[in-house]
Amino acid sequence: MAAAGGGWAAVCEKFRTARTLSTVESRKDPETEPYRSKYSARALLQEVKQLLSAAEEGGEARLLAVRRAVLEYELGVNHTDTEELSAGEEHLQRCTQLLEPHRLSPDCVSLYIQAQNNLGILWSLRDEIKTAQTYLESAEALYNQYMKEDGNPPLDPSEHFMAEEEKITDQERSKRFEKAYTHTLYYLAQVYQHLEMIEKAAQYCHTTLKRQLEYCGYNPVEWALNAATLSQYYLSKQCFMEARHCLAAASVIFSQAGQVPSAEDNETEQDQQDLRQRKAEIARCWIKYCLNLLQSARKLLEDNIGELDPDRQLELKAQRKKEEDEKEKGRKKAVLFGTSDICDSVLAIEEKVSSVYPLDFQEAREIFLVGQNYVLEAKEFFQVDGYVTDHIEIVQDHSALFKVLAFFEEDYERRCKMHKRRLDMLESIYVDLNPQYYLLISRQLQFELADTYYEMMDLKIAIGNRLEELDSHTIKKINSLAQLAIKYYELFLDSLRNPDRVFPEQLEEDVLRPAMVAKFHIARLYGKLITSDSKKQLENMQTSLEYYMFLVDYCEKYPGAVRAVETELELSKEMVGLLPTRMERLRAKLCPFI
Amino acid sequence: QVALRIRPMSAAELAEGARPIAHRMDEQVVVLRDPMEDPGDVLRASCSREKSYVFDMAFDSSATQETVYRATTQGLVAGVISGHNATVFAYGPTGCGKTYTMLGTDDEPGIYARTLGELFQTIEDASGDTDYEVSMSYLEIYNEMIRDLLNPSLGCLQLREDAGGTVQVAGITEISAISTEEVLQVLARGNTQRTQEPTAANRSSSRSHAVLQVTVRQRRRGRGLRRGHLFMIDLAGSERAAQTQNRGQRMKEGAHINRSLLALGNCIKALSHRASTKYINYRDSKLTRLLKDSLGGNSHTVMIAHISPASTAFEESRSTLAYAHRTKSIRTT
Repeated sequence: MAAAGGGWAAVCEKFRTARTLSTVESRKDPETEPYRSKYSARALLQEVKQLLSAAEEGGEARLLAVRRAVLEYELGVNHTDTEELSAGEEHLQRCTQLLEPHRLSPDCVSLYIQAQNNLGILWSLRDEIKTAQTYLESAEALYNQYMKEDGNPPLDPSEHFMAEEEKITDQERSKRFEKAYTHTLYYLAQVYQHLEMIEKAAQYCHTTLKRQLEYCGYNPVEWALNAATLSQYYLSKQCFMEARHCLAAASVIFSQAGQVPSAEDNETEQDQQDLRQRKAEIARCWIKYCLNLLQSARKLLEDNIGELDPDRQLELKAQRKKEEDEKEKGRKKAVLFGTSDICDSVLAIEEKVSSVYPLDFQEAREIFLVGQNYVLEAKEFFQVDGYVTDHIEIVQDHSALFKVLAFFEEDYERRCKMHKRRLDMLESIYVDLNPQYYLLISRQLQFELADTYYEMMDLKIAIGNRLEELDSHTIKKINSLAQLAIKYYELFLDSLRNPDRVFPEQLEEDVLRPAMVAKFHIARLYGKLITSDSKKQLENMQTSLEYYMFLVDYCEKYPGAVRAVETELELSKEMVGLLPTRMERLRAKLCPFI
Repeated sequence: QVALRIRPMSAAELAEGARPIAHRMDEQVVVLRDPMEDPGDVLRASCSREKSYVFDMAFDSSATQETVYRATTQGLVAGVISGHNATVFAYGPTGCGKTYTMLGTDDEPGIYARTLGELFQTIEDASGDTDYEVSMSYLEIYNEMIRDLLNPSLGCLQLREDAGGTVQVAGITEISAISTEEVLQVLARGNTQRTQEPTAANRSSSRSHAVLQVTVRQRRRGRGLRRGHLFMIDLAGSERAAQTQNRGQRMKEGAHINRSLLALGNCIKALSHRASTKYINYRDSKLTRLLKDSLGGNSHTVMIAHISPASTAFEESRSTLAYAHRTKSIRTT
């Protein structure tokens, strides 16, 4: 000991007071004096520093150095917090210098790592993110090296200013040390993100989450939301196994929140409300999972006209058999959440839904049903009244689930039923929507409704073609579907007009393709309308021609648009060539004497 | 004194389909209409969707640079010459016209040019027994670091407070000026030195504040030296983080590392966003220290807040108007 017993206790007390001021009291500082407590803490730390240097004779040099290092660390953090970065850097550098020769030993390693963490933060405040990276990666390396070479729970820095009896348990030491390292990883996640190393950032976020469960203490609701959000990242990378794991863990941990009775008994109505909302948000993430999985499978299986290619299906099924073994190995290597107690629960949820591509209707249907359940769950909270936008998005997802399921369905009649479900749900939300306030959503719904009617019409025609002749009922049906499709495409195109009701000369990039497709489909629809009245038929053909011409003319005027509508343009050019001849022939039939 | 300037709708805004929601009602009143999203929101339905704000001066697209200059800054010039201090701030989100107001264009010069022109003219016309000296410095405050735009190789400069309570930037270049053209040339050179941000997606704004300091020293025979400062400041964009899930937690945006694990959610969210829009956190601690002179005592301060009239900029406009409005009630004693 460098000082007599009583003196040392006083020093420790001072140190503790300084820390309390910094961490606890500072939160209560008024806005006009935000750093008041920190300045007081700083003064105390300076005093302790003085006392230490006064008692320099006698005592271990090493112990003294470490204690000084602790002070330099605290001062460094203090100056950083009060926006005095140069001073902060000075202190932190001094800290690491003092510890350098002993940085791998149990009394120094934790402090060293924390100092490097803070240097990383400091440099990030100066916007020198690469420098921050070097400090944090060095801390990471040191941790790994220490765990490999020693591994025993190291001293917590605060222990250097504690009396012997107060020293903490090994278990607590380990917990705090791991927490420091978790922060290293968390800061690195942020750094990698700023450096646009997204995959690495995700990996570190994932590890941070995992460690939160194991070491850090966590708020179950927040943790669950974060895990669910991470799953969305994995979805964007088509990593379904990881996404499912995140979601399953999110569901399990979230359910913990409901069970634990809240410490404060005044859990308000608002809290209950929040909880219900979070649950619904997690449900929405699950919906996206199911939808993405189905849609990705579709992309793999479809041929060039959008139908299920049976050859590709066989191919993929064979391939899957082979990959099953490798998947198992991959699973074991993956970063799994959880302590043993939640592992089983997570697994139970994972087993309810597949993470591999569905390759036939049966498999697709199972995933669809899971998705549909989550739709119902999400809608319970996100009702139209109060959550219009959210509610609509959920309905759109539900419609998308049906659409992709229809792809897997072989029977046309059953497909029609699925599209009918879509029409019902979309129309019911569309009808009450104010297009002025919800321009974007309105457009989306109009287009989707039009597309759905269009597809149904095509199916009815295909069904009808199987019979010898189209009966009048079917004809009526086909025409009505076609008219409704036209109606909604027109509504969509109308929505693109400027306030003076003029259709734009040049279309914006984000509406270019849908607008062209709308025109194209309308052209085709007029061509499909069935009528026994030849005059009417001629009119329809004329309208059809005009719409095809629009595409051709537009692409001539704006060649940049060709990329967006290549296939449609090709067909349009053909029709523009063919239709006039057909029309002539029809006209000739009508008026044979002219 | 607080002025508000609404710029004209931009081509981009019109193309987006935005409607004008901010209007100047008269010389002092600006009205902002809420392009309300949710008719199903019962709570909001009963509140008025329009809010009006009263300022000392209000301008819209019909106001010329000359008009704005006369109303806001012209009156300050005489004071600076006689040894008082004055500050003109341009405040507002990126793209709303701050630089246009302060610097302007060759055809439509802004406040810098007009103020200096006025200064030089007044000095010329002044009586013979007074000597005047005009000098200027141009500096940038970026992430708490001060850089001399006229001599950037010096790196980061420190603030010093002298015995008289004046806050100065140690080592800053002060150039003596005799004409507006000269000053504008110097300014143009200085502007090329402003910090470029390679990571700012979509917007060309910087997070730096540019401070043009013009000092007029007046020496009258037998009367000693009087010194007046005029600070003209083009503040960094004041866009605020529009959404944060962590209520009550102040977020440091940009490349700063957030200490708290509470921010992990934001970090994860950002993973899926490819083109992430950067939100700039307006911090004015260093700026305030530098302008201590101006903000207190015998000085005049004019803030010109800028907003866009478009419905797409509603949130930003609302927060700018609210901030500017609050500023009005600040009185310096």
